[in-house]
Amino acid sequence: MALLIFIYVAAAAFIIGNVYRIVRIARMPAHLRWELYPMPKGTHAQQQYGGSYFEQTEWWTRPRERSWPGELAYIAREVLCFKTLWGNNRGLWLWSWLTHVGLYSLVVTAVLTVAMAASGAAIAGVVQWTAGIAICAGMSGSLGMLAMRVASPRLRPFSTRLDIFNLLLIASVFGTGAAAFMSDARVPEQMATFLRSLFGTSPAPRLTLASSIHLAMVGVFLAYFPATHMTHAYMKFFTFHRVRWDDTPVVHDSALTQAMSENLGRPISWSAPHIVGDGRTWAAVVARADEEARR
Amino acid sequence: MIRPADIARASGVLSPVNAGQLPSLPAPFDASPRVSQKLRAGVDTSLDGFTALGLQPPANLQEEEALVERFLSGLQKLFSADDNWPFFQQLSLSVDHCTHCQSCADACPIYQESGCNEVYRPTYRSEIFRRVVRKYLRPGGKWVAALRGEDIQLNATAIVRLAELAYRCTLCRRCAQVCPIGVDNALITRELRKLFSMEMGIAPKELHDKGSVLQLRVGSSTGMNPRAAKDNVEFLDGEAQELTGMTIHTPWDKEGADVLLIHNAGEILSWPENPMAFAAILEAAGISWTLSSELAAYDSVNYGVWYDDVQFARVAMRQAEAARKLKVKKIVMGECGHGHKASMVVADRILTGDLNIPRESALVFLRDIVRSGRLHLDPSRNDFPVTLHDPCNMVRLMGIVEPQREVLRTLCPQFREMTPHGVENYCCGGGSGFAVMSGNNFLDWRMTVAGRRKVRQVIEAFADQPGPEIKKYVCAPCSNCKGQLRDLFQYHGLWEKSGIMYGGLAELIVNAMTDIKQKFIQWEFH
Repeated sequence: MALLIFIYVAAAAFIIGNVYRIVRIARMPAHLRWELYPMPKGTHAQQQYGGSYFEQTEWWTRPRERSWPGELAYIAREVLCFKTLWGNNRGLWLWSWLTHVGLYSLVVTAVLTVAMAASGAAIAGVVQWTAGIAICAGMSGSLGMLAMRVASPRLRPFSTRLDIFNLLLIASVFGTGAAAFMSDARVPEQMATFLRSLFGTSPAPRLTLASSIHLAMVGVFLAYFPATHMTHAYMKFFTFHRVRWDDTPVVHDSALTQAMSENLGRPISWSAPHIVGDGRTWAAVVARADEEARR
Repeated sequence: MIRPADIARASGVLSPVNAGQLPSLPAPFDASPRVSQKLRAGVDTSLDGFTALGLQPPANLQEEEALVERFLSGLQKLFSADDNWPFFQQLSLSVDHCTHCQSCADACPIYQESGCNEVYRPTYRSEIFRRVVRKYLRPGGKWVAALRGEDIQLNATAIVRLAELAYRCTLCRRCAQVCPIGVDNALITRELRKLFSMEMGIAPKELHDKGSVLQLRVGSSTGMNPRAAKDNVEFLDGEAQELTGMTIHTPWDKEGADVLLIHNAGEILSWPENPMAFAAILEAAGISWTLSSELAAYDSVNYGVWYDDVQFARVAMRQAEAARKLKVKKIVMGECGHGHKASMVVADRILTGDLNIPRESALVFLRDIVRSGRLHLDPSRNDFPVTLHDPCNMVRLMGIVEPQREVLRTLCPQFREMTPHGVENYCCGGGSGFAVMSGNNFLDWRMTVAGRRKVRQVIEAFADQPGPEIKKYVCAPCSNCKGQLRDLFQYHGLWEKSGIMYGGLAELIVNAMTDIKQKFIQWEFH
C-alpha cells in the first residue's frame, strides 16, 4: 500500500513538475533574436553549408520558408544518434548514447506494460526484450559515464556531486530492474498487475522485494526528474526551435509585433547612470538618449 | 587544478598566461610572445595578469559590501521579465540545462590557444555564474549549494575577476554551435557584461564612454561629428577620383534614394579605400544611393550589442529613424559584422511599424552588382593569392556564407579557403569589441591568446607561397576584424615576413574593374 501511495505521489510530482517547467519557460516574454547557423531551414544546400534567407536578394520580398521536416530530421538525428556529441565529443558519445538508449527503452517498456495492463495483450515476451535492452544499455552507459566523470581529467574538475548522484540514481534504476528480473522472470506480468492496481481495477499484487525496490527507485527518479537538468529531454524544443532556429523577422509576424510593443511598455529598473530606470518604460528610457542629445 | 570556487580565493593571480605553454606558431612566426606590464598603479589583474577594464579593488569592507549588493541587485534583474525581457528566456535555458559534457572546450579557440588555461574554458565562467545564481537567487540556495558541494563565496575578489572574465570571450559562439543541448555559454558571458554595465556602470571605456556614449552624443564612435564626416568623405571623393579616373560625388541626405548605405565610420579614417571602393562601384553601377548625416546613422557600429541592451536599442533606433526620414527603399549595411547582426538580427523585433525599413547585407548587394554585369570586370587583375576571413557575426550568426564566396570565386583566380571556414570559422580574436580595446596590457592578451588561432589559419592558408615576394590578400569584409588583423599582422610580422595584407571585399571588386586605369589595391600596409 505504501508503495502504491508513493508511486501516486511520484507520478504527480513528475507531471506537475514538468508542466510547471514547461509553462514557466513558454510564458516568458517574446525575446530578441539570437539565432545560430547552420540551421535546418532553407534549401538543402543552405542547410549543408549554413546559409540563411539573408543571402537572397531583397529577402523581405520573398515568401518565408517553413521547414518542419528539416527540423524534425535534425531532432531525430540528435535523439537517435547523438550526432553533435559524435562529432564533437567522441569519447563521451558511446556512454551517453547507451545511457539514453537505456532510458528510451525503459519508456518503451513502460508503455508496453501499460498496454498489457489495459488490454491484457500477451506481450510479456516483447516487454522482456525491451526491458533487457534497457537494463544492458542503461547500466553500461550510466556506469561508463560515472567512470568518466570520476576519472577523466577532462570531466572531473567540473563534475559536481549532483552529476555523480544523478548517474548513480540512473544506474540504480537499471540495476534494481536487473535484480527484479533475476528474482522472478514474471516481472512484466507483475508490473502490469501493479499498474492495474494503481487505477483501482485490480488488487495490489505480491511483489518480490527486488521488484518493490525497483518500483521505488523508478518513483524516486520520476519525482526527482523535473528538478534536474535532465529536463533537457524536452527543453531542447526551446533551446533549438525557439532560440537557435528562431529567425522569424518581425515583419512576417503580427503577433510578434504586438508582443514587442508590450515589451517596450514594460518598466525598467536598471540603475547604472546612463539608464536610471526608476520604473519608466523601455521605450521611454531608450528615447531619453535623444532628449539628452538635443540638450 | 583550478576549480570554480577558486574565483573567490584571494591568492595573487589566479591563472596567469604562461608564454611557454602557448601552442607555438609555424616558423618564422614562432618567436616567444611579448607580454608588457604597462599597468596603472592599483589596477586589478588578479584573474590572469591582464586587464580589459582597469578596475581597482574596493578600498575597504564598506565598499566591498556595496559592490556585492549591487552585483546581486543586477543578478536579480537579469532574471526579471520586465528588466531583461530581451534575453530572459535564452538566459534561463542556458543556465538550467548544461550537463558539463565539456564539448564546448575543444571548440573554443581562446581556451585551446591559451594552452588550455582553465579560466578560459567556456564552462568555467558560466559554471561560476550558474552556481552564484543557484546560491543567491533560488529558494534555499545557500543550503543547497553546500549540499551540492558547489559553494562560491561572492566577494570583491570574485566579482572583479568575473568582470574581467566577461571580457575573455569574443562571443563567437562556436561553443554554442557544438552544444548537444543548445546551451549558449557565450550568451551567459554577454549577460554578465550587461549586469556589470546596466546595473553597476562597469564597462570597457572603449565600448561605453568612447563607444556608444560618444556615438549617441557626437554621431560616431570615432568622434567624427556630421560636419567632420562630410568633410572627410568629400576629401575621399577627390582621392577616389584621382585613383580611378571616375567622377565620384558621394551623396548625403538624398531623400527618396533607393539605398541608404551605412558604413562603419572607422573605415573613413582607417581604411578609406573601402568607402572609396563602394562609391566607385555604386557610381559605375548607376545605383541611387545616399549616406545620412543624422547622429549615429553614418556609423553602422552598435557596440551595445556586446554589453548593454539599452545602449544597443538607442543606436539601432537612431539608424532606423534616419532611414525613415530619408524615405529610402532599403538600408545596406557596409562591411561591418557586428553592425550587420545588430541592425538586421538583434534589433529586428524592436523596429516595429514604419521603423522596420528593409536591411540588406553589403555582401549580398555587392554580389548582385557583380552578377548583374553592370561592371566591366577582369579577374586577371586580381591574380594573387586571396583567402577569406569569415566574420562570425555575418556568417555563424547570420548565415551569410555564399555571396562573398561567389564574388571571390568570380574575381580572384587564386582564391583559397581557410580551414575550417564558413559557419565553422574561427573568430579573428577581435570580436565582441576586443578589436578596439587596447588599454593597459589588454593588447598583448589580444595578440598572444585571442588572435592566435586566426594567425595560424592565415599562415596555413598561404603555406604554399610563404615568401614576402608574393603579395597575399586576406579578404576580411568587416571593419572590426580588419582592426584586429592589422594589429595581429603587425605584432606577428605577417606583412614583413610573408607579404600578407588584409582588406575588404569592395576593394577587390574595384581592383578588377577594367574602366580603372591603375590598380586600386596599393599593397601599402596600414
